[in-house]
Amino acid sequence: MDVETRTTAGQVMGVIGIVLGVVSLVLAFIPCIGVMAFIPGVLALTFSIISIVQASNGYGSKGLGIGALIVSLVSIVLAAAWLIVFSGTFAFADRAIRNSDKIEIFGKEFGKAFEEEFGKGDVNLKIVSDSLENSLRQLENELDSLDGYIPEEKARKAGQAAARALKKSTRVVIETDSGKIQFETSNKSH
Amino acid sequence: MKPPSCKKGINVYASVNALFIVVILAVFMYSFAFKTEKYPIPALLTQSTGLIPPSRGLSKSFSEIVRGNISAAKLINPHSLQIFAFFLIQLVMRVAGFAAAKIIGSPFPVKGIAVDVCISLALFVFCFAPLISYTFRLFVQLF
Repeated sequence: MDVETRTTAGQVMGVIGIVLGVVSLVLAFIPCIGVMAFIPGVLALTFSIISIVQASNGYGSKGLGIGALIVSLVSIVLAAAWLIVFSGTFAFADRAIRNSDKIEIFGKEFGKAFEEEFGKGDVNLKIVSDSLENSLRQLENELDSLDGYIPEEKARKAGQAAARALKKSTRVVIETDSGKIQFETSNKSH
Repeated sequence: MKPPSCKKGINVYASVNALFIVVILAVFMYSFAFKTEKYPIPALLTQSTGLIPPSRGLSKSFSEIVRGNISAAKLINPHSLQIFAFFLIQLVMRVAGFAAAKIIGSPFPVKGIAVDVCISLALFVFCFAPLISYTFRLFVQLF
């Protein structure tokens, strides 16, 4: 009579896999070093697959290997999410650093063009700042649509265009009686 | 088909416990070995994003805990005590598990392993709650 017996095939790999998997899972929940969980996670995944294959071929129990596989997959998913967080941040920081000098040029050009367009009169700062906010929001959307590097000339032109856009977006109302100059926004919605 | 004869294998539960004992002791030794401003494991998230997660200063506060400076550790990281408690309780559980596995022998009863896994998981969720909730909140915000 054939008796169903289990061998120890794949157990060593399974033990290593489950330990590495748990270590990886704990690391994945520590935000500072969550991305590091990838290393033990991938190792645990490898060991667990070997364990399952060995158990299948050698009539061993696959339970340990499957447990290690699940734990390692969860930790790899978390580590991958951390990697996306980190890579996204790095890309954003890199873009900001590469474009920082262009942003400075933009600011200078904007200030210069703004003074030329408006002069140095007494202006209602609240209305102008609202209008400016709208214009800058539009500009921000434009810059967001640009992929990566901003050329120097483009930054200069963008600064001048932003000031012109601000001028266009405001309507000057001169109150002759009080002698005040008031700016009124004409682009209510964007 | 008849499977090949069963040879004497490793005591799986004892081996898992032994390896976890080594890992936890390594964590404690790391905490004891470094008491400087520069730790070998950097706070990658803070360095790259400027975010200050609840795990900030965990290595430093672990160093203080193993030296008995509990109040200093609490000041550096308020969650450090409960996270350290997880490792300490786990060390005790692993030693007990290892001893039980050696006494009972292989295979260790599945019920015993299931109880161990449930207690450890609950302990992990309780002690790591601030880190787990921060991780998921951050992922939800970003994705």
